[in-house]
Amino acid sequence: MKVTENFAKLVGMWSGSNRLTMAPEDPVRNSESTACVGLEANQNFLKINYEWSFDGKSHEGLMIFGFGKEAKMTSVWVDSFHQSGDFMNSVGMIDGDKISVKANYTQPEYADWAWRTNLEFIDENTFSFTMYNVFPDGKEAVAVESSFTRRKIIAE
Amino acid sequence: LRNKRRNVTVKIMKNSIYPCIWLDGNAKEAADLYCYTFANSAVKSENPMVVIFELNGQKFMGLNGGPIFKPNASISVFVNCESPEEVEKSYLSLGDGGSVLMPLDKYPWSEKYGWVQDKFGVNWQLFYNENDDSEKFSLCLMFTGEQAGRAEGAINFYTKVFDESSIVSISRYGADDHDILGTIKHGMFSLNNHAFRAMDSSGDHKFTFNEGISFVVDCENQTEIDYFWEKLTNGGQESQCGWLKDKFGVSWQIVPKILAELMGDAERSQRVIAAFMKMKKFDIKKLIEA
Repeated sequence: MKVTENFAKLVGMWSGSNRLTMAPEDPVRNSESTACVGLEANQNFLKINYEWSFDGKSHEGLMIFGFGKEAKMTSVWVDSFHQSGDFMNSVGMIDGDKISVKANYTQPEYADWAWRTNLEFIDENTFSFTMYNVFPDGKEAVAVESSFTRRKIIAE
Repeated sequence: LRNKRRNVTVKIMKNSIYPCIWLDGNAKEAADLYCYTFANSAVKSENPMVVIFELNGQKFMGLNGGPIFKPNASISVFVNCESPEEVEKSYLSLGDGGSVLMPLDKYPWSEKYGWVQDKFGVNWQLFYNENDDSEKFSLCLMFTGEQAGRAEGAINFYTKVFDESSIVSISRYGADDHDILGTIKHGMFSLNNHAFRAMDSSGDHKFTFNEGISFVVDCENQTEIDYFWEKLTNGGQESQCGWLKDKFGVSWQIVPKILAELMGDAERSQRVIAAFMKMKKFDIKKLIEA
């Protein structure tokens, strides 16, 4: 399936912020963030390359969303801070301008923990993604909040 | 300047950024050719190591660095000529003893355009379009090899690092173009009001960014040096004597403005050189104390 019309509008350069909460009792770590959004493979996949920083060190991440039949979504995610070489493969649904996907942790000792990622098209100049730690009891805590506004291009 | 962005309280100045061309003992000869080719141009200063020249107000440095590095087509000088005749004259002047990457001709983007590599290895895109009122000289970064497809990220990154920046225009490869769909066909941006261009090219090029052309950032104080060093080495690598490579492989020199004054004193310059040869990031206090 093609990327939906609104999500396809996200193609371009973005600037925003990243809020990281390592654990519920920990302080929120704020950093600037940038993103480049593109379409891949005959416009069937949405790709979000983003950058943020933690303690002054730059980190990069990549999310690719696949738009399946009957509103089913799949995604892969990598991030130089959050992962150490493994993709996170998530599945979920799209509901209008909101995508929600979830994956269980692959480490055996955390097999009953999960990670939810929500991606939201707000308007042509704004989007956000939020990531949650999902505890074994099903409760969720925000881990990452990123929101972006479109970079201004003078000639457009 | 917002504290949250830079974590400093001192205002970052609109730092001058200019290209440095790595040459092999012939920096003055190269500067003379460029000043002969382009009107309103002159050599501003010279010593055995460095020649500073300006082409129509755009500052360049020619560095007699030896045979280690050579400029290549990954960074070219884009010249927005005032007439087709200027394109032709420049093409002949710079092409003498060099080679042609794109022959002088009419192209979809220009009535008269040619890309030559001069005998010193410097690449020039000579362009005329009566509707284009952009700067006469800009530096064009071509993202090839493993960097192909990263031009957009680089534009996004550089225009955040430098305070007085803007993204002027972006065009992407379409379905009819012979490159990766959606990547940057041509992007124009400015960093501290200096004009730059960028493009992706996934073809089988044998060149990528190197030290042959680097960008010098003049800094007023240590805070500015620290800021640019931290931002540009993040994901990249530190080198010697104020040089670094950013995460895209582009070379930068983060240099205190006072260095030129310190080097102007022949007796003192030897001690200053001895001091900065030990440095990666420049330390202004140690340079002054040398």
